[in-house]
Amino acid sequence: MKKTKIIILLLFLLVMSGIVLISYAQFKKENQRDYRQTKENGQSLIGVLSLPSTASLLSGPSDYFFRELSQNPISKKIAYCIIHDAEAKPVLSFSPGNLDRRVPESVVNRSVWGNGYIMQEFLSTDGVGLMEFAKPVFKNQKKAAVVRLGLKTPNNTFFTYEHMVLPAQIIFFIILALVFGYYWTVLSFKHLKSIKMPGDETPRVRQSKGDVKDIIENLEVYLASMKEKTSMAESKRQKLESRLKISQFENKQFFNIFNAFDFGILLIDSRDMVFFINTYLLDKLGQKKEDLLNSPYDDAIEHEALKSFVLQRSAADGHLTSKDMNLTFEETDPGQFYQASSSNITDAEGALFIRLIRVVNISREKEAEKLQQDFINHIAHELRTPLTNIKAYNEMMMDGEINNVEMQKEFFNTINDETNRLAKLISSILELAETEMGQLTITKDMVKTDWLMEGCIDAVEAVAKEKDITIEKQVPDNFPKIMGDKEMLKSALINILGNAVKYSPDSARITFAIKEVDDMVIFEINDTGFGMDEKDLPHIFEKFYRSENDQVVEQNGSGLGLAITAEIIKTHDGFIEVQSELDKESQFTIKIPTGDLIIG
Amino acid sequence: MDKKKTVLIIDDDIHIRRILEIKIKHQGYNTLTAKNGKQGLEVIQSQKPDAVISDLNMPKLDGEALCKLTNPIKKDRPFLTIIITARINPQEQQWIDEMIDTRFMEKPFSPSKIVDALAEYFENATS
Repeated sequence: MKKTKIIILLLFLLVMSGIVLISYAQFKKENQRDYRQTKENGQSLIGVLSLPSTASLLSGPSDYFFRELSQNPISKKIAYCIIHDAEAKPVLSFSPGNLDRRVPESVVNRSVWGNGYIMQEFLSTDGVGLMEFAKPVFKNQKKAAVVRLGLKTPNNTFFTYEHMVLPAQIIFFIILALVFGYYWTVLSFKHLKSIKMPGDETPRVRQSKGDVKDIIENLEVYLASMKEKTSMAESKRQKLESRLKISQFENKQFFNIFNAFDFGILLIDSRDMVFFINTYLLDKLGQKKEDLLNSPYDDAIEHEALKSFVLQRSAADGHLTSKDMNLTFEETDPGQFYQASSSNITDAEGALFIRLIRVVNISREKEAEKLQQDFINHIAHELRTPLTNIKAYNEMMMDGEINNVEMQKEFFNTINDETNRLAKLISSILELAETEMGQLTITKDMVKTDWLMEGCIDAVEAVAKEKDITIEKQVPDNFPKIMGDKEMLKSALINILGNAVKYSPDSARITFAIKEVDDMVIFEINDTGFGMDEKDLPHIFEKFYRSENDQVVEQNGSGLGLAITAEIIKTHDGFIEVQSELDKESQFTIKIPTGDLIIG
Repeated sequence: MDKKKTVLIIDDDIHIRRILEIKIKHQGYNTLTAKNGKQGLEVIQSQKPDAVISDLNMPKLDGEALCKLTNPIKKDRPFLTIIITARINPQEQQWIDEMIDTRFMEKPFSPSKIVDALAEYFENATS
């Protein structure tokens, strides 16, 4: 640093010396020019003054001569002008400052006694630089006078105001340039120093005390760091761009999946705008996607119930109770029942991000619920009817209201019958429940069809005999065998054979046939009973279905028998068909595959 | 002495018809019977009973339909209807409440309660 200061100081001195030298040279040149001019003026003027006419001045008027001198362009430089006569006596003298008196004697003598032109330079007695020109005036080839002309030699000094202007100007401009240059540099570097890079890992520009080399080094470091940062930023940008593209693709895929759902999806963002709605729900709302997307849901959704559900869920933000709402879309999907449910999707900080509203068709569930309710109502009705009879008849007997013996007998019989009816009902319900679970619990064995036939006939024989009904058996030479649950199969066949006996008039004829066709065993039960109405046929296998036909209503029945039979046949991979004509006949055909028989 | 009140019993179950018939007759009322709602409606229109006891679950015309059909008649000619049901649920309770002079009784009911309800109704109607 010291070295730099010395260099700067030397440079300054050099510059200053240069300026002084230049100024001095300029001054010297000016002096020489003045000297030469003074000399030329002097020579010229002395030539004029030494003309022969001058001799006449010695005796004539001389005012004119002195006036001319005083008005001469160089009069200011004239120190004196003296005209001597032939005897060297001064006759005319012009000396504004009386300098002639300070001319040394030797100078005067040399001039007045010379015979030709003389020029001499000297200093007056008081030190003034003078230049004397002397020339004799000849008249009639005789020396008539001597003219002496003294001029002041140029007496310029270097340190004058005029001479100092130039170097002062040069110095002023140099200083000005230096000051501006310095501040410009300082300001520029200050700006560069103030540049900071984001991030902790950024290499900072080293603090500099103004050393240009340091600053350049720092700049290089900074530029390298900038380059590195730019490259990192570019790579980051590319990564983000590709991530964005992947995200957009995934979004599209998600939306495609949502559109394939068979339930409605509505996404509401945190600003209560519709973010997404799938095509399923759009169809139900009967609205266009472009009218809903990115619009406030309460303006866009026209379905009032759905809108109020979203609003309620909005008000219940933060409470995760899932209160669902039942909806219908009467205009687009009449008769169907829907259920709306909502869930909040939150971000990592737990802030609400998206509300997801799901709209599901629950018509089937509703139907199943209704069937379940009907089933329970039926069971209650069927069980409570015999129970009512038992209770009512018993109460009357206990209250002593029935005194007639015949009537008492009738009452006891009714109580007994109704108790049996209740027991049978309970058995049927249990059997139905077991059958419905049959596919899980069935145990298949080899079942002989002759055993099945005998078992069925034994079960209904007593009632048949009471009504004088004949049951005719039609059997093959060899009874086929089937794989199945023998008790279940027997129960299924008894239900049909029992119905044939129950719903046939007295002395009717029933045929029970068994045959084998291909790998199927076919059971056919024909009766010539009351037959069935055409409108009842599609429903006879439904639980608790009972015909409104008077002949059926008069008979006690739960409406479960045929339902149980159908379930059992289904469990055995078989089929059941019915053909009937009202008041004529009925024919039930049951086909059951023989299955893989175990011979043993 | 007032004219003997007539009570119509509608049920598809013969034993219920029978026991109610005996019990109500014992109380000094006349009785009519019908096997289903359809028959019952015809009897109501033709015989104009003073009270009707009807099962809810019946073929052809059930108890609810019967009540709704006969309710307008009650405005000019009031009569009591007692609906006998296996199990009362909120929906049934609602429509029964909307009917004029209609009550329900759950199975298994007591015949004495039925006649008590009839007596109470006839007493209030005459006073």
